Amino acid sequence: MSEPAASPASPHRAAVGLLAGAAGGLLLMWLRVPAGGLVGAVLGSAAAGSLVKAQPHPLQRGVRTAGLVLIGCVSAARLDRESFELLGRVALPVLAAVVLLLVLNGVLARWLVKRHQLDPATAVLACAPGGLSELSVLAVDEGADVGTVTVIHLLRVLLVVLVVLPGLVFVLGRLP
Amino acid sequence: MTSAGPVLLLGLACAGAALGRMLRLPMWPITGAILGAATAPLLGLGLDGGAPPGWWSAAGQLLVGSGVGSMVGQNFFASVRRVSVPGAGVVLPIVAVGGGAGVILAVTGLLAPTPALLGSVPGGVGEMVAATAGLGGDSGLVAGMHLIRLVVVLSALPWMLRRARRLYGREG
Repeated sequence: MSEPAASPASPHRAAVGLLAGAAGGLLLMWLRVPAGGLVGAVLGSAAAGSLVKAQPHPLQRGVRTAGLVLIGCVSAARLDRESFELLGRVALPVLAAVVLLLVLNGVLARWLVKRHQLDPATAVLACAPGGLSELSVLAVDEGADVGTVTVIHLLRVLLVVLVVLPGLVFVLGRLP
Repeated sequence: MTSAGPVLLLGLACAGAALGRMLRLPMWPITGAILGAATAPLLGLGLDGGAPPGWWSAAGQLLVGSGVGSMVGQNFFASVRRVSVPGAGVVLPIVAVGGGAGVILAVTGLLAPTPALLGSVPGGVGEMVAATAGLGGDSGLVAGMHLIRLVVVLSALPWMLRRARRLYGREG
């Protein structure tokens, strides 16, 4: 990149946002906030990026890609042969549930477009039952409103992690 | 597997991601990495004693969060104020339908209640898998159920985006 150091797209400004993100993530992890690493990093880097007026830079894309590969690696490591066999037996019902969620995705996206005047890409990505990290990255790539997509998925993850999950753990922990 | 296990796993994940990029897989960094690393057990590379260290998950979340957050700027905080209410209208049905599917899987006896419910509610994968492990359930199975959801959703999204743009125009 040949931009001068003071330009908004400079690597220095991008680095400030990234470092602030790491600091925010570490802080919320230390405070034991559920999904604190991700939530704190988004909030910290968004706040710092806004202050220094950082613009999209290849450094940010590289950091995101490295993080996604690492998360993919960790997720796949949780699978073993027995899990694969059991997964094969329930694959069809699980797929049916995902298809149902995708239909709901379409219905809710239509509601957001018609009722709340969101652009179609933002509406579809905001209602998709995917992962927060992946959909936020996809929102950047698709030119959608990243803030809106990220906020709605943060709401979903926080609702599940703070309300639904403790309830399920309480109930399931008491089953025979 | 020796202590080189995590390094091998990461190598497979990187190779999978590179292949995913070549094949234009949707969200190739994560879908390719998952598919690449998931070949480890199939290749006979057990993970006993060689599973990725716990900080890899935290590091991944920090890297992704920092990368995404640094690109949203002031827009993000304006969005928090603007979309909280419609956001709730979107989130509640999604969580209810996911939870309902989990109840059906448990009631029909296809799965035990713990993996059925924690594998079906579309929340944070890491948290659901960690909770399953804490309850003594099959955390690998729950991870797999969430992976199916992620791969199917991420594969379907490009088509859904094209269709939505055709139906509503680019700006809605």
